Amino acid sequence: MSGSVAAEVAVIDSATKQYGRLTALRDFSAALRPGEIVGVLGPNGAGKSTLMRLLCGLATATSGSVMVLGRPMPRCRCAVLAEVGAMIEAPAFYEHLSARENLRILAGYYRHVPAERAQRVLDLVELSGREDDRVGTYSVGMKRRLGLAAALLPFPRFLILDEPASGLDPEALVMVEGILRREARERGVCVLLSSHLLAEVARICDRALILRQGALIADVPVAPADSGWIEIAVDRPAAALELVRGLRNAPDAKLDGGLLLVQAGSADPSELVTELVTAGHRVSRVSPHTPTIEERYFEVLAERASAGGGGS
Amino acid sequence: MIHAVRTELRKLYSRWATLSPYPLIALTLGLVAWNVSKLGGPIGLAPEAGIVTFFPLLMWWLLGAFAVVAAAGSLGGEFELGTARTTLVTPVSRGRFLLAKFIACVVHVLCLVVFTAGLSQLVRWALFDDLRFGLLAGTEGAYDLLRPEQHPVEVLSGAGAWVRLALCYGYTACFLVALTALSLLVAAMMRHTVGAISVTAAIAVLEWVVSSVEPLAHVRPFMLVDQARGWLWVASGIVPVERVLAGLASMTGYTVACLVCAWVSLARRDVHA
Repeated sequence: MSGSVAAEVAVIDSATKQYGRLTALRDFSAALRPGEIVGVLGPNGAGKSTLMRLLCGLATATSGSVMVLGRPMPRCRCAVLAEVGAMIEAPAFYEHLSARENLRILAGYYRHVPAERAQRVLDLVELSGREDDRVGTYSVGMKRRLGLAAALLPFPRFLILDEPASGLDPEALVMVEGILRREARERGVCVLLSSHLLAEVARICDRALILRQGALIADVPVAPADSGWIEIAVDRPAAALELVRGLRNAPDAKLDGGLLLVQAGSADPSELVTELVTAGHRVSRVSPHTPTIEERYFEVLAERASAGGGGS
Repeated sequence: MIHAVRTELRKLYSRWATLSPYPLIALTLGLVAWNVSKLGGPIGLAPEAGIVTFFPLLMWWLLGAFAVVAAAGSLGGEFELGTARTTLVTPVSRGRFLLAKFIACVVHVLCLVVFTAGLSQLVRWALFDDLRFGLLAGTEGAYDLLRPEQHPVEVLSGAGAWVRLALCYGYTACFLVALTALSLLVAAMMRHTVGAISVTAAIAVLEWVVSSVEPLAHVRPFMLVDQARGWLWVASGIVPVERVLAGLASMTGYTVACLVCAWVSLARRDVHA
């Protein structure tokens, strides 16, 4: 983890966070680079919010280190947070004040953020027209958008967003994804977001960190990649698997959701198809297997569960 | 820092709860005035005077209660609503956050004292057509007014009375400031408004009880409530001025100690959901 601290937006090195006997985050290490959008996935209680709280200095790691923008957290919290935008858990605002007043209050805590920036970010998240209404009258989705606006206030280099898509309607979801992509591509902002919506992560993230019981169990690219397997859509896949396993020089093969998967390189696909057709199977498609992030997520969780469970 | 204080004042005064003491103080003083004028003098001897004298005593506790509610709500409320999380992910330090709240609450309690003092003067003037001895601080001062035979006006006559009057209000303000700091400390530890109000009140009552126990007389100078009770007698000339200075020093130490502990609690502990 050492060596390239300055080039990374955040470097977490063997961070562990304990709350009494509960280990919320266990020996977590990861590095986040400028311009990338990283999704944090995991079941409830996996440690996603704890990770985000460590990164923005709301919590202190029990052991290990957390460096953000080249500075240790939470020791250099004030200097770091001047360049970090964060929305942790459900965004909370003064409900009796308007959105504009809330943002002006927050803007005042940054030395480099002019008061007019509040209106600019309200326009960005499409809350203009409602900016003078009391936040108490806002829907859950509008509060999320206001939370994103607050995170965008300081022209951040690092955006930490805890479930930014939760409660958003489809149009708002597209708008938020557009903002995050623009921030990452045009300004080189590193975005770390947690989500339960795997489709959302697949759409906008470059890679995903998968957590379980506080441990990082996988750090995978989100873009579909050749898995090294060939998928064959065949009728009666169980019988086809038996047939393939009975062949001379039998290749590695398995079933996955009604598809027959064969390890690429261990067999000639055309020969396999010929064998299957000869045996009376109907083959409708042969293609490289490129699992989605959703498939990989469940695959990783299942592997962990079968390997003894947990992140320990 | 100026922005932080201004923000805290804005937050404080945008809540009805912060404004509610003003009409309540006016109502209480109004009731006292109404009872005084109804009963006529000599008030202290009238059997119905008990209810009249009750109001000023109630007022003394009310001011303290308003200070506690404002301070506990100001900090505890931030944690309950989750707005502390929103604020503390900005570059504002925990120390600045706390100090801004303290200053805003102090401004609030000073406004309450000034309001009470002003209104008391007005009541005094309305009832007795006399502004010279505005000792109707809305608290025990009214008691003086109602029982003139116990605290004859002569004691307060001349410049000395005005000095005592200033000390009286100053000491009240110091007591409220120290109580505010104590409330912020409890709120920083509990992170819950109602809990902080209850515990602060319990501590104040406990101090009162402890300071009333004769074998513990040696700890009285360090008891916030006992010091505060002292101011009632300052204005009446019972407490010598040198004890006032000791009391002020004690309260200043109390305030600083509470704020430092509150800061440590805020800085060292995590901010949860």
